[in-house]
Amino acid sequence: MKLINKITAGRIWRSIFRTGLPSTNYRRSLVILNNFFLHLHPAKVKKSSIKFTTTFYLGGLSFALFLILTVTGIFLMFYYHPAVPLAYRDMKDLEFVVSNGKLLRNLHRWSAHAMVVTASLHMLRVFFTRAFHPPREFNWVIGVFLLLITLLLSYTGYLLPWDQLAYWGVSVGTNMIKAMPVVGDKIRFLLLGGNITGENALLRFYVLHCVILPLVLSVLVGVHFWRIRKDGGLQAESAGRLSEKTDLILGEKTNPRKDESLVHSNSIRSK
Amino acid sequence: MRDLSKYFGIVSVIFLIVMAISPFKEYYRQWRQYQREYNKHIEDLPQRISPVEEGLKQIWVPELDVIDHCTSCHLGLNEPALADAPQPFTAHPPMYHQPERFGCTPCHQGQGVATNVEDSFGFTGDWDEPVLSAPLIESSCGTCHGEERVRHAPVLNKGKELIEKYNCAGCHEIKGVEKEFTPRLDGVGSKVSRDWLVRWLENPRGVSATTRMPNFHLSNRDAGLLADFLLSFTEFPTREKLEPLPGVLQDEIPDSLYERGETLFRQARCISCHLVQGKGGSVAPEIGTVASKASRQWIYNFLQEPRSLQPGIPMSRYAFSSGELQAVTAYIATEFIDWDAPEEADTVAHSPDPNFYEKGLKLFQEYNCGGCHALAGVTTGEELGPSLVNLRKKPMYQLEFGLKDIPHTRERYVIEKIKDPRGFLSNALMPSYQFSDQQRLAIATALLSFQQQPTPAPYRVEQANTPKPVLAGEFGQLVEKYQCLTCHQINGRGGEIAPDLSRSGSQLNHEWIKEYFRLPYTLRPILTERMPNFFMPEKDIELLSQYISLVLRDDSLETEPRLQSTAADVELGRKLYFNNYGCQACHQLGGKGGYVGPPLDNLDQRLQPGWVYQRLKNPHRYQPGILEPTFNLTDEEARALTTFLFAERGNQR
Repeated sequence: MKLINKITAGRIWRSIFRTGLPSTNYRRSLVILNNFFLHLHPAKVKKSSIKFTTTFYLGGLSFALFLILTVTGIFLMFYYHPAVPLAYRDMKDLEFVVSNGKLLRNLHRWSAHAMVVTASLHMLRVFFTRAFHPPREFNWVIGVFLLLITLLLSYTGYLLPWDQLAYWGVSVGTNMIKAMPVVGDKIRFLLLGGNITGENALLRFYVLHCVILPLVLSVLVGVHFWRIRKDGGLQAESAGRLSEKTDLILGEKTNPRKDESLVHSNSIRSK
Repeated sequence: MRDLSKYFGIVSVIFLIVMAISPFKEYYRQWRQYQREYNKHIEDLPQRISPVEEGLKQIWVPELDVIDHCTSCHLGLNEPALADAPQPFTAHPPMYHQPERFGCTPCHQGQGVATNVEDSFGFTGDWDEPVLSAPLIESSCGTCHGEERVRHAPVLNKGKELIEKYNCAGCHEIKGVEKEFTPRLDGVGSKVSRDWLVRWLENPRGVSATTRMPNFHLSNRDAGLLADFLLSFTEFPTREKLEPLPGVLQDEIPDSLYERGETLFRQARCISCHLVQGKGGSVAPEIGTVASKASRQWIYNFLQEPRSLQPGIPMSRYAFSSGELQAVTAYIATEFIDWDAPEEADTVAHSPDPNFYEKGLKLFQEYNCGGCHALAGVTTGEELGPSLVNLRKKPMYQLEFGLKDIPHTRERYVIEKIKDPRGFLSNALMPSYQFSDQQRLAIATALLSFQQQPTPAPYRVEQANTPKPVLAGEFGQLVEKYQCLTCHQINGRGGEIAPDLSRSGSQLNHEWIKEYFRLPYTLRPILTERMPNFFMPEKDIELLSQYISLVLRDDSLETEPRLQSTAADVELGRKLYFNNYGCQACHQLGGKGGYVGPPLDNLDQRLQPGWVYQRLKNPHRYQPGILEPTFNLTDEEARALTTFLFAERGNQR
């Protein structure tokens, strides 16, 4: 006990855990605010927002799946070469040779499918609870982009096994792009790095799938989470009680900042 | 809040359990179990076999782009003690190629990278090359071995032979097989009757059971149109008209002529090559019913100068006098009639379709008759059938199974296609061949060896391309006239039916050669193919025998040791002949002995001692395939035997 006390009183401990135990409301809010990973969250949320049936945790699930995908994806990158003669063989290696390789690949695959589903359902939930109304319309648009990037990630990942399904899936998909007037051909050329689904296309899809799209997604996810806080938490229960004075752009005109002691007034509404 | 923590706890436990499944599965993978089983299995054996160290085994051959994990489970491949062990531990039968250098899948196919039974055998739908079944395994030899005859691969060789014999290249693109256009059909109108031709076209095998021509299943109407079309070609390739028959052959044939013809037919040994009523060779077409097929005039002209009517065929030109020619023609024309043929219809009553030429030509082209038969003024056939150059690697989705209800594997496809070509699609045109199951397997083996992409150079074995000098001059002309190379080989060219003549000058006595041309006899009575009597004029005999004795020699055979005809040597030779080596088991000497090898009486008249000596020393020096065993005789023994064989003549007389 003495040792524990000594450690917790020490300088190193206190430089990491600065706020101490969250015993009071103030301290609890400090825990959130002083933490890099948690500061995106509002310092306080209503109990009703945490209720399962309010959100079905769809956004959180999508984010969790994204984390799983990132981790398993990085492991897969250890085994995968984006080259025509090797790509399919690496799939076979993962299946037959790499320890737990099948689990790794299947986790990635099923998580990807699940993420598309949860993100889509998340959009429906937001729509039906009118959570896209001002002031959250900006976040709605971000969300739409996030869904699009999720789909693009799914699609670029489709080519990487380099089997017949992948090859024809991408051939057909990129030919659909070609049907676009004026720019179709150029975009297809840009995507494939040529006119056929070949070595260059594989490399481009690989870079898109493993670097560009995940980076953009991460940044947008950050903005998305931050906007939730800024827009006053979840829409949830207050959805039906929007003030008539609500401005389409700026939200409620009269913002009753009654309790200045709270760090963020929007998070708290009197019941 | 408490509820949530509970859920969190439960979900975490479930998650942990789920995560543990994979390592467990990893530990109990099939190949690991086989390796443990193997180690247990070899413990019970009397022999000491080193146990396997657990771990995935791999053969990597970068040149062939092969990664095979087969040896992870097939652990006893190189252990002779495991010849009767259960699979997958069984020892491999004699291996011609070490797996470390060649891998497993280049020969056996299958999915080498896989590590369980089902996937590695490759019958899983996502693998185009499942493991080859045993009867077809020799197809793999052909992917690297481009020689005409591949050692230890009799089925493959047989298949390649059949593909060449039945001219598959006439309709299909096949690498390395030349198209053959025989017989030419020019002049067929001056040779056969319409009735015969219609019967032939409807079912060639019904007319001659040994023909190579397949059945196109033509309707009677189509066969008639095609026959009318073909009969309009009355001119021969090298001359317009046949010489008229001599008067004696135009009407009833006198018995005396017939009898003389019969004698000549036998003396000439026509049945050495031709099949007549179930007897005779298989080198040339059956002629048992030729008189019902070809006109008397055609037979007469053909015997006179075979290659003026059919350029390029291997028939010898016999040096018959005109009287002999008439006699042989008379015999053939009266003897070889097809008595089973239906009565000849009244040919005068037949009036051909007004557009028979166009319609016939269309049929001729539709069925690609030009793939096998040349016809003046009509383009030779193009490859109408699908290309076969890449059958081994052709993607499975390109194989059209159509109406056939068979397992969708490449092997079954090929075998079934040869068996019933038209059963796959209702509008298919490929004719049907009557192959036996063995022949079908052989052809499938050869077909499955065809792949477009050659194996990398260090693995490829090509046919050794030694220059083969062409025989020129008068000797060359005589060889062409008598078609010696149909059966004999000279300097690497020619058939394999009769002995190689390239060194006969050092082997045979000059006088014997001359006598043999005058009256050929058979050295080995068990052979079907016998040297025909060509009735050569003395001038030809002189030239041929001189050339053979002076040019076709191997000087290394002349350096024979001096043969001392001492009585001791003869006695030693006799002992060696009868007691030590038991030569009488195969050879006749003084009327006693076997008949596998040629008789050895009067050897001094036929052979030269130097050759006999060398031959006894190493029988396989020139003919690696012959039956005679190598006894590894010492110089002394060989000399004694030679002396004995040459001295034996004296005892006979």
